[in-house]
Amino acid sequence: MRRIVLILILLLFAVTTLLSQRIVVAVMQDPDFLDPHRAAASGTYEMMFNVFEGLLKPDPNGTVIPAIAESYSVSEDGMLYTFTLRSGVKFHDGSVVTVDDVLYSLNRLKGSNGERGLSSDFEKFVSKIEAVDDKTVKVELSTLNTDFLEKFIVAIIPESNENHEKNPVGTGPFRFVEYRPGQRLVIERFEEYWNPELPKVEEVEFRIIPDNQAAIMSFLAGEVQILPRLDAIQAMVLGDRYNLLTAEQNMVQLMAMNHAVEPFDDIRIRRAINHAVDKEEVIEIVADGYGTKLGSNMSPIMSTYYREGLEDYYEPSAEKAKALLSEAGYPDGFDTKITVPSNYQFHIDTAQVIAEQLKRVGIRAEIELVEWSVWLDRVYTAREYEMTIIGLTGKLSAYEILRRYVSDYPRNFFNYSDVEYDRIIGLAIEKTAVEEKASLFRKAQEILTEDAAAVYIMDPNFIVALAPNLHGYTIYPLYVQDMSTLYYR
Amino acid sequence: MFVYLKKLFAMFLTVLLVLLITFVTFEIIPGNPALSRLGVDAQESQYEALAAELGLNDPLEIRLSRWLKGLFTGDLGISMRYSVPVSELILDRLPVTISLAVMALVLIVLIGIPLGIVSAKYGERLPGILITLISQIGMAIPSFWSGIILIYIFGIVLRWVSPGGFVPWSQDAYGAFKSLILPAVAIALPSIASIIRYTRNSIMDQMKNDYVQLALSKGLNLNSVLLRHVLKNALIPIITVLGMIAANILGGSIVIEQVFTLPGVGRLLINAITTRDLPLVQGMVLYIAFIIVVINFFIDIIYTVIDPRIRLVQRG
Repeated sequence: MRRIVLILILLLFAVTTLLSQRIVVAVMQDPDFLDPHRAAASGTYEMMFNVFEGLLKPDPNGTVIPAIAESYSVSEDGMLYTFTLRSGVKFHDGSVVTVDDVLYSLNRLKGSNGERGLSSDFEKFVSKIEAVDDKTVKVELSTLNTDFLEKFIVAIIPESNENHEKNPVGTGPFRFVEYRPGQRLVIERFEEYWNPELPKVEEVEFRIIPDNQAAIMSFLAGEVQILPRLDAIQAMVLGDRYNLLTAEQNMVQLMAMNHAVEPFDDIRIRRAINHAVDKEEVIEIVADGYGTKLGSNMSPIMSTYYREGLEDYYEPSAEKAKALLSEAGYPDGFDTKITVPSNYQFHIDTAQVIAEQLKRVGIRAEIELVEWSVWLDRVYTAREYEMTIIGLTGKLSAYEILRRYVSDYPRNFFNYSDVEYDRIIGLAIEKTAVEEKASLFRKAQEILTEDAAAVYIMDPNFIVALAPNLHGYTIYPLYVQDMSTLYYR
Repeated sequence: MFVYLKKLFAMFLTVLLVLLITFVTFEIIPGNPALSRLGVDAQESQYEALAAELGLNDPLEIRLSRWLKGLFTGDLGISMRYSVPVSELILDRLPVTISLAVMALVLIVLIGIPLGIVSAKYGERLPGILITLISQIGMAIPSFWSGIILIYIFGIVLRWVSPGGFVPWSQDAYGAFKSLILPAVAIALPSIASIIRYTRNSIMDQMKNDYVQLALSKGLNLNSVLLRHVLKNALIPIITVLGMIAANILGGSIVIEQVFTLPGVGRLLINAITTRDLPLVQGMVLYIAFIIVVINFFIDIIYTVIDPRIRLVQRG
């Protein structure tokens, strides 16, 4: 009897989901801007990735593939990009994408007629954008940057749209329906998507649930079908009754040490701390083993550029750490502070483990929890901190990832500065041959490790929980949720 | 009438002071609305454009005068986080929080007062002791915790309600009721417990009075003495406590809305503070002050209804 009831309930569940063809995804935060050229937050891109497309788009392997452009070519010297548009690509308002829309979009980023552009990179690197005919667009660079191709994933939007913020229109597999601040963002299937096989579901709701516990409850109750970015502890709570997917996610979790603050300006101190931290222990305790050990600021998922073998450059050793500390004039260690954003339990847990490990070599680290807003302001922007733990989300381009350490880069919150490093990064983006470029980027990673620029901890695995009858989830080495390939069965 | 004007003026001053304190606090604490909106990956150009748009680079006196002007023209301004008028955001969220508060209040009155009467009547005997015990426990359990337990039992094990799935009243009244009843219970629980105790103590106090002895010796039975004579007199302090509870419910809903992911005013307030959205916070402060004034006003009226001896003039 009980079994029959159970089967009936399951059947009912299956039928209702089949009929509704609707997916609810739990997300942590609101979008910052719906206008794709103004949006900066990865939390926004995660959702709007389904609404907007560029000339190119990212694929799950971490490269770019043609989207609105059908094909592209790069000139030998790397200065000229030529895109041929796919014919018949339509915007969500039904109009066909024309070269004028492409020119409008790219010029909006670059800035034209004395107006400032919305993208610093397009402003800095692009000199000329022009239409050759009604299917071909040429983009000429002013400064060589061989990693610029990835920039063309930026959204192409219709010139005719008067308000990109209130009424976002793109060419992606889903069309924007509504956004209620603090509540939800809803998108629906775009019938005229250029790839007729996609998308497979009718509607997707991104439900904004900032509280982790509440998100898990909603998932358990069947209100939410996709619960991305679980940590290992939460995954354990869910157990194997659910469909859990795990993968490397191209994130670099690190402990930054402020190079402009004593005693972290001393390389011996930074090396001592690197020796004091036992990454394997951190991964075991904090991530239940679901993490990949790192040695520099690059995840192994970026296989072309990843420099292998740096993970064990500083083997965990209290003796070595103590010796280095004495050499630097701190035989009894010192007092310091690890500032951690309070909304990231994962980083807090990491800080606690590391603080214990540092205690073994005599460094007394106090953990200071700050609000995310305070972290962004005080640590990330004003750089007033001693040590901090954070995860840097992945980018497609190695240059984007590594230029954080270039001395004059605005977001170099490490206060790292090294002439040789700057030179190598500058050189790397002028190389058109992939292998030549990759070897320079690998060299850059070595410099970071040798200099003990930070403590590179791990790439925490991406864990997503899916409703049992939901299939086709694609994992990207980027902060996105691709809804187009999902289907119920 | 004059009494009301005086009260109103005092209220206005209080609100003004609170608003000024919020403004100053936001000047002092670290955090920048443009930074927290854009996050870690913002390019310089994006940050600069937004900071300029929000007027963050303007000197203090300009921002202060802009703020004062908004205050006196009744314009709550535009939210820095959402780029939507503050009033629109608050009005959108208001129905959820108000329904939650009303439902909780009804539960408190309908369950708390009768149980309090029963508890007073049986005093030291078993039902009285039981109710006292339960209300002790009820007061000790924080509402966010009972909220989680309620979700677990009714949402996940029994699947009677769906946590995190709020439907507006206009769309589906039964669905809305279903999504609000658990949080309302969670908010009401500790208050039910305290209203039981207040009712009990207040009735016990009244029972010591001579008029009770007179009524009893006149031959009236205990029940009718309790309900017709004692309760009326005992209600005055209970109403006062209910007024305080009503204000507390608003505070309680801030936490409970987080637990149940309800799109109410409480969650909006948390959001506004964490993203340093000053106009939105100011708008919410005004809203909360307004609600408190309204509640106090109604309580004053209820007093005079229950006990005609209470004249507003005396209370002024």
